[in-house]
Amino acid sequence: MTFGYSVHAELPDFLVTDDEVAPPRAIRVKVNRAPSANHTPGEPGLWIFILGDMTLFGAFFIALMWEKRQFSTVFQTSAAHLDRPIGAANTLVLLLSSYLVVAATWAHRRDEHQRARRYLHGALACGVVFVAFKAIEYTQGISAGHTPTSNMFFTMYYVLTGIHLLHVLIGAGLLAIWGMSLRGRRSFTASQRLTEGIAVYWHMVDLLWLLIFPLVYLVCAA
Amino acid sequence: MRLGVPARTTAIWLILILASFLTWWLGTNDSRDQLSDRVMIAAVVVIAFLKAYLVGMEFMEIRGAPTVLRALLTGWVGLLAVAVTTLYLA
Amino acid sequence: MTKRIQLFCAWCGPTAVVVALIGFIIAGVLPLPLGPSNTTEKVMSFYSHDTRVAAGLVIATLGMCLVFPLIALIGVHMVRMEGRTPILTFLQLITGAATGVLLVMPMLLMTIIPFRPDRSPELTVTLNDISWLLFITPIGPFIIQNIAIGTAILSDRTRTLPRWVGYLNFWVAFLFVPDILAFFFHRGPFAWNGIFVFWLAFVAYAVFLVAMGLVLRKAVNDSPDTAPVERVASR
Repeated sequence: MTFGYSVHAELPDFLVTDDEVAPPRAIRVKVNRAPSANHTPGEPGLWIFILGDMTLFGAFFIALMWEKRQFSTVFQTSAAHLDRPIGAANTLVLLLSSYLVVAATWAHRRDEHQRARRYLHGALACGVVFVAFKAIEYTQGISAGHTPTSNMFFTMYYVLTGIHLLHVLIGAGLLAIWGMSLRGRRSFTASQRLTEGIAVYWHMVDLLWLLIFPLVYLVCAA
Repeated sequence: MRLGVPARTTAIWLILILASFLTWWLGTNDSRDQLSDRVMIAAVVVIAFLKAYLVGMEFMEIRGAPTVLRALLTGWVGLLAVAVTTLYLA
Repeated sequence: MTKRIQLFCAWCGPTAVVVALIGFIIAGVLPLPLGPSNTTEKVMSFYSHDTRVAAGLVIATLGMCLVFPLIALIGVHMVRMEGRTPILTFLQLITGAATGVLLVMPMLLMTIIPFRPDRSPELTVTLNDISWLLFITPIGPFIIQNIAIGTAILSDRTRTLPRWVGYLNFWVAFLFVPDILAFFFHRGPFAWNGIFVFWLAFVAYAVFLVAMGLVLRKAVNDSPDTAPVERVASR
């Protein structure tokens, strides 16, 4: 569904009074650039990174389950020490942030730069909350004596969530870059690759947590 | 408040929120017998991967992407879901 | 002429992988490398085949030296991407040079181990620890190099190299991150011989060398022939 700007279209006679009259102001129509069919979000090369990164985490998930089979009682008792409510809260926080990134994408597509920036600030705030919750969790865990070298479960827990946290921090930086690029008011088409790429990266961060929380916090404790 | 997000995407987001509550319930409530426990946890795994699939298809907009990308996402989700569930149940 | 030199440099990428592989197999480092949890007897018996181990490691070291030409060729292309302020180019050259040294030095240290088979076992184990940890853990220069390359390619408006190579470099950078954990574990997937440390980094770096080599080979072949500088004979 695309509309165009109607600037200086052919004027009907009754609007033309004399040569000195300024033509009517261009009618600013909201452009809603939905992606065309068969559009690769971002650009094809991006998906080498995204699918590659997802495969790395996939390997981590398989290793997690493998080690769980080797050390099932250790996993059961150790996973019970994790703070599940905070992990679940983080799931909702990231889901909200993803929704805000979707909203920002659509606002940017409509060239509503201010609005898109506000949504991105919201998504960034969610990211900050996530990091804060993680910091609380890690502090709780370490003061309770659970460190990455305590046992295999805590190794996998800290490494998985730690590498994910690194991704969140990088993602927050990328969202900030997108936000700053909106100040320049470039059109969506000019920045489509960058902004769709950053959006996809953030959704990947969300997607990964949607798997990390159930597998590490719930399944490992079973 | 007009968010400008397609209705379908918002609906899927709400489904994801509900699914998160569902996996929480399934994963934190022990049931009477061993078998139900294992079924519930296996369900947690499957639902988690379905959520991942929805995020990929709807948020990442893979749904509107070329077939190859859709196939890769489906493959990743499918293979991992099977591998993780098998490793858990076996 | 420079084109031929550049093509040679491009081939050095995949060749480094092949030569290092051959060296490691001869030395016995592959298929199953020594791990931190191996007993002293196991370590001693590994290095007791002193000539074979030393020869294999010498070959592997020579293989790793072949990354230097590739790094230079990457630099040539990055200059084209950046223009007047080749900051990322310099960064890649510096960190690339560092990566070369960080590959060669630990291998040389490891080659010293079979030099005296009658050395005390504790010293041998210590030298083995030093070589392996120095080989596996210094990820900083590698990651910075990959990020420099990726950033340059994605910021380049002239498409000197295909954009997917930039994304590949970012992926490879992430794959090196777990290596730092080798300091903390004697066994398991994060030990220096663990699957997410040795094997992941080995495969990731090999992919980087081969991909960059092949992509640069194509870029060099596709680039216009620069006219040879004509010598003006003075009469």
